[in-house]
Amino acid sequence: MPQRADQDIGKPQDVKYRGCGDVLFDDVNSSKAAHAPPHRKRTHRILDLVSSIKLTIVCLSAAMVLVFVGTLAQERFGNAFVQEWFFKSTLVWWPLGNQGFRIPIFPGGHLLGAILVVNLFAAQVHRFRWEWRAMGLHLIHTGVILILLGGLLTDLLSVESQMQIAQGETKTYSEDTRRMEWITMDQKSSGVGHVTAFPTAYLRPVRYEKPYRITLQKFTREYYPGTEIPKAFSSHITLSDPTRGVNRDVVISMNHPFRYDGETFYQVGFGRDGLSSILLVVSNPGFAAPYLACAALCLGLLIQFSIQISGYMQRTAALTK
Amino acid sequence: MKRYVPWFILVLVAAWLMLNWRIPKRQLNDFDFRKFGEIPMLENGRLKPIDTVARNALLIIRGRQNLRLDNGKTLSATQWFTDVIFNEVEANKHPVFCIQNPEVLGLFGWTQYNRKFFSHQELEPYFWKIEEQALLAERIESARRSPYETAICNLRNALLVYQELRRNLQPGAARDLWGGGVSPIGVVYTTMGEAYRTNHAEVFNYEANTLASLMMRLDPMAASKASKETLFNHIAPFYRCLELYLFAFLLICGSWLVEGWTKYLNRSALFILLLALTLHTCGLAARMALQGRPPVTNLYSSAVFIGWGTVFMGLIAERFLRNGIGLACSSMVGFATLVIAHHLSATGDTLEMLQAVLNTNFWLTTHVVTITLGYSAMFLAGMLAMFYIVRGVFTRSLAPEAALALARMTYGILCFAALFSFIGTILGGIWADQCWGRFWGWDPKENGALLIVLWCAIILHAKRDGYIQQRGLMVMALFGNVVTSFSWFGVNMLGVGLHSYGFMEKALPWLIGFIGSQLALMVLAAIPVKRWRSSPENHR
Repeated sequence: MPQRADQDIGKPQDVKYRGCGDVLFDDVNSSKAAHAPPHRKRTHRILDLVSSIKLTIVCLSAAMVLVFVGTLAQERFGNAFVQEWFFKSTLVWWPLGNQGFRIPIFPGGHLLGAILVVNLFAAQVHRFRWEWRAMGLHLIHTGVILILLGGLLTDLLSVESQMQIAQGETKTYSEDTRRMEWITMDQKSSGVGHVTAFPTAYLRPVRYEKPYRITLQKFTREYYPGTEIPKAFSSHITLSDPTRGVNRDVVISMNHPFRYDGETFYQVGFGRDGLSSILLVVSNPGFAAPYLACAALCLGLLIQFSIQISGYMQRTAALTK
Repeated sequence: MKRYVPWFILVLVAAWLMLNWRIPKRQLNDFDFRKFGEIPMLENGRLKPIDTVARNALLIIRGRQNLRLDNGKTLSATQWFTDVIFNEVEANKHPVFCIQNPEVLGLFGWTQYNRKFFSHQELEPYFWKIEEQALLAERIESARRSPYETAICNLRNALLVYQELRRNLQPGAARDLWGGGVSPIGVVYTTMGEAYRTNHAEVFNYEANTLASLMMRLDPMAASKASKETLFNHIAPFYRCLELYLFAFLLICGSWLVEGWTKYLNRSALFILLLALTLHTCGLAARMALQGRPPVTNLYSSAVFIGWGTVFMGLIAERFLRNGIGLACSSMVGFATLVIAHHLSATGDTLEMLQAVLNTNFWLTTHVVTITLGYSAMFLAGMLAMFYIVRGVFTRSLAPEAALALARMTYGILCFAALFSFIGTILGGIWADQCWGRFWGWDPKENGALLIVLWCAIILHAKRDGYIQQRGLMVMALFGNVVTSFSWFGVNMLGVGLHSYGFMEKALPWLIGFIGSQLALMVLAAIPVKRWRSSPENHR
């Protein structure tokens, strides 16, 4: 039979690639398979589209473009700005003119993530197969969904602040130096014969009060001898929480954070005088999502890999028989 | 007779290596520079042998690890170093400072002629000018400097390194581990200096021995590591591997071009590659022992490890393909990555101490190694695709079975790459969550890893649903080279974020050239299949 001119060099003969996806998904939904019968219900067609691999590929490609352009933009505009502009937004807006006009030019990170989550979820549900051989792929895709959802949760719910404590000092609050708030105080001044009250106001970084106290006993900086290269930092603090009867010493160092009361304290740096420690305080309700996702992914990848390797061995054995 | 050729070549190469590594016997009234070079010294927070200090300094200043004088004699780095600290007058006459930019020469009123190396003495009258110009140039951001500005900054930097060397080991103000005061070490150095200047080799050597035993008593581990590191420097395993990989590649090309010698040259190349891989492995193991760290700790070691990973995987691929392509990919990537590593080593100590944030062996072993293996696999897949396309378009040798075998192997390697890149990226996220308070920070290096994962996912999904066939798979695998080189190397040039270690202006044109070549190949692959020389039509 003559080869068609537009076929590939190596025509896939009977030894076709059999990824395990072939087992999992119905052939009806494969784009190169038989066309869907025309009388298919409208909802089914929509569901087909929403759960299609085509949509996945489009989303992933758009994500690649977004991440690439965003990375280049970071050099110019800085990481934080580009994050808000490209990755933590629904749409990427481009300013037009000087009157605040702007047009959307690309889907933003949150929109792409949301579409992907829906797409993945629909694919799992719409084309589900209760076979243990399919479990690997299911777990992997569930893991991906969890990561995306976790990312969204973190973007929306997590709160980051800083605590700068000098040695010997006690602090009961952390601050967000990127956002300011107005504080007004009424001051009374009394002079001869009259009393005037006038408000004074000043700006200070947003504060998050804590029900506990943190005292910095000692801050140690270790450098490699004779250099300015930091080897390790650590803060020796005392945590005192009267509401829970907690009073203990804790060491916070780089790569070893401290978790308490739903918040995590990370050693990130030190003040210019070298004697005060800077801790990053993060409250992230969605913190567990990546770990759950990781567990699902590892298990799924393990199962999938074992299945594919055993399949490969079987086929090789069959071929050499 | 022909079948002995591989063994013959192997023996020849081994002999060449041994010859290279031979340590010439020292005459009795020669200075024992080897002994002196093995003595540990504190620099940049690390106890390293004087040999390393000397080599790195000379590399930064002169661009080479040895010094060729005008009278034709060649000085080793340690010999030069000894001159610098003990015999200032002589040392200042050595032409170590490299100046090639004509505008810099013009500063001194010199024109460009045959020389590119100048001595400290010649430059001395112009120090104030160099300082003034360099300070002006340094105010400009590194990426925006003109060649003149970069050159003047480099010259000033080289002069600073040179002067710092001398300050480090002045006999009078000998810096040592035990703080100030007159220590026995200072006394020894003074004696040594005297002996060196007055050409009393026996005294010099005797004092060198005294110093060595002093160090051995005070810090035996550092002293023994230092002598091992000196040996490592001498063997220069990665440079030798570079040469071996190139030779292996030539052998493979020969095996394809020379009629009747295919099997034997292929076997020869295999032997040389195995030898090179062994040396490569030993080199990495030595680095790990010397540093006490997992294999990848900085950009330099990542290049060396990527090469190792790809060579290893390429050899496995060859086991299945059996047509030399696996060996060719191994040798090409091994050579290229070691060349990159060689250039990266020119900026200083490659066994440097790790800053606090990287001070964790667990994550260095898990996250970093996994991701780097992912890079290796991506490059191997891309190289296989390159051979597929070049072979298919320009030669008739890509028969359908061969094409299918190549495609299957590429697909398998891509799956491996996807797995490792994915897991590595997740591990990186967990490390970041443990260390910096967030799983994902959109740092350029993180974005690069994400791009690789996304690209692998797109390939796998497109293949699974039949959007791409064999040729499409190869083209996409080839683009994987572009994505991976951006992710591994390109992001370091952006100079932003937590991962920016190593700014490489010089490498940018090479990176762009490489990416351009890959894109050109992709366009080449897009020509209709019937025009490929290997097309089934042309086979009839």
